[in-house]
Amino acid sequence: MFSFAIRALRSPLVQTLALVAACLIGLATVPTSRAGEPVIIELKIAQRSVSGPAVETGPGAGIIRVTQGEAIELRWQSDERAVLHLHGYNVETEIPENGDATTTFKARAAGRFPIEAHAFGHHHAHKVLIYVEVHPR
Amino acid sequence: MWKSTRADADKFLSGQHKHGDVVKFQFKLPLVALRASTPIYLAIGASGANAHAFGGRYDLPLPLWLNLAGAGATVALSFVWVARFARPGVTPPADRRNSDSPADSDGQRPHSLVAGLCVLVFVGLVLAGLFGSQNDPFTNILPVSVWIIWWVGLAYVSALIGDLWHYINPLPIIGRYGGALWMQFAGRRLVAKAPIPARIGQWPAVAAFLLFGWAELIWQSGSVPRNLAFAILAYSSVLWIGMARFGVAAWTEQADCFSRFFHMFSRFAPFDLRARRYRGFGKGLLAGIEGGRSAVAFIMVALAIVAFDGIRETPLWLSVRVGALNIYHTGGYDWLFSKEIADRLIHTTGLFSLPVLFYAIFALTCRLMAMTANAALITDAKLPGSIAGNPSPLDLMQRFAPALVPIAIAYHLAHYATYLLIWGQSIIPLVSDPLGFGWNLFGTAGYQPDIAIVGARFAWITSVIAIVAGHIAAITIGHRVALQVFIEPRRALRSQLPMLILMIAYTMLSLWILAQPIVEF
Repeated sequence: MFSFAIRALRSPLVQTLALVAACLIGLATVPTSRAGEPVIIELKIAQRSVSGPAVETGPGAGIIRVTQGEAIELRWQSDERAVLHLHGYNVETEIPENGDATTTFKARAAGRFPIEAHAFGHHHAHKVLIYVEVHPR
Repeated sequence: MWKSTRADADKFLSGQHKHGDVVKFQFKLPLVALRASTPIYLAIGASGANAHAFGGRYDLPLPLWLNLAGAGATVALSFVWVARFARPGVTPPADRRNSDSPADSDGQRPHSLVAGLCVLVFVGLVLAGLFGSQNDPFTNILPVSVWIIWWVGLAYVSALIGDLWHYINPLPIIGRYGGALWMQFAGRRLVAKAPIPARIGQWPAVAAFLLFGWAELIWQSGSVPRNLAFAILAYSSVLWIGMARFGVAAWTEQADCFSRFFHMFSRFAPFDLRARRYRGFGKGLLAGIEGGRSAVAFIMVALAIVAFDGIRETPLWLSVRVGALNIYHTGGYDWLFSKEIADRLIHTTGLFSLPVLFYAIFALTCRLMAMTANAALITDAKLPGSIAGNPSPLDLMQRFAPALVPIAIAYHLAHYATYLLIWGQSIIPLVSDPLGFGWNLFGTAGYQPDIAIVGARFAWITSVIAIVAGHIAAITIGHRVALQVFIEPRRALRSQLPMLILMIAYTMLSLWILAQPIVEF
């Protein structure tokens, strides 16, 4: 049984793969946290779609780009009551009708995270309003 | 271009879900009130075109520079590699050893203790699905075990270590024990044993795998534990009936699409677990497959389903859906089905036509391969004819289909790496509270998965390395097989030109998918 493992370890392919993996893990674990002022992003929901100066149009839904490690504040304004859910980070935000609310999170994980409306008014909904793209620094 | 798509998508989506109240899969369970008040049956109802059946992928699209680097490396290395084969003297010797244990060999049967454990886990999971919490798939151990640990995780084990599923597959174990028990009490077999009719081939596995792909990618309630448990029981029952008639090993091998799929991936793996030996990466793919068109079709279905999993989240597919729905709407067919059903029909059409397309392209490539190889024979009078004569395109398909598998494996690994690492963690709280009853058996029930477990750069770079490496492996295997088939090195080299073009195109498809932003609705 052990001779399998030993022969596998001798294979140059396995050794190369192990080396590459080790290097990449090293690269990936460089700390990326950064303290500083929160990044404030203004967003407006009108007729169930989002607009704002920082919103890029993307396929399907708009995109806001932030950088990993930043503290983010999404300042919402909405023309109707909405319950929003930022996936991955799992932040829930409720905006009252014609009111405002803020979603706060620290962008510690990179990725593309949808913000989905789980409710509009008093109806349940499942609509991706916007994607938050957290890019590595 | 996207502006109009987006507006259309919004239009089509805004009317959605007014009645389809579906339990949303919350990971952290913040909406206790909502969850408690939402009846189970709603989750089983139509939910419209939603995200992945389970969890969500948060991968960032590959950045442009990395995509270009990957594409460049693919093309450049292809030519470098082929040039290496073309140099006389450096050509690797034909490896004529059949490097894969025959798929239908019974291999080593698991120790009865292991077998018992596998059956116990299987029964436990199904019972958890039937009787555990139904409100949220992440409070029941069955969906995570099936869709993440088994389907995604075991594919990794199969491709990188060996055919573990052959040992731990509970269905033939139960079939064998069941048959033995019946013999004990009734003194005869349940039904007379018969050989599997030749025309059946592997078509049952092909059909089952298409259905499975549909359940994974389109069936919205596949993550509802009870539905999943019923689906597992239905599939197992069909398999057990076949086992009773045709024999446990033979039927599992030929009709169980999961045995076939994991075995196909494991042929790339360095360990041949059935023969208990180390053979090195990719060696198992040098042997062709047997079983004619149905066996080739199975591989094409598997490759297509793996690819469709990525394609359906691309903006291109979204615009296809929106376009098709618009035609449906403006054409006045609305009375036929609801928008949700129409959308799912579009998805289903995509899922079922991609394997046909893959098969057609592969058949064409093999036809061209036969032509280029024979052209070499005609133009170069010095070349001896192949000992095996001129293989037919179907022979070539059976010999060369495994060579495409490394590309599929590389794509699969790249596509699911982050997903597995993030959502795979959800098994940690679930082992402490498998039924969602609020238990805390091992003290891990409160564990929260860490979404920052992998860096984006790490994920990007490993994906591209995996894809380029898979491509090189595929070319190497293709060339080795060509040497076995066509014997004469120059003829083998020329035969691989169509295959090389196909492989580059297939690898580019993988890179293209990874460079697309994930859009889900």
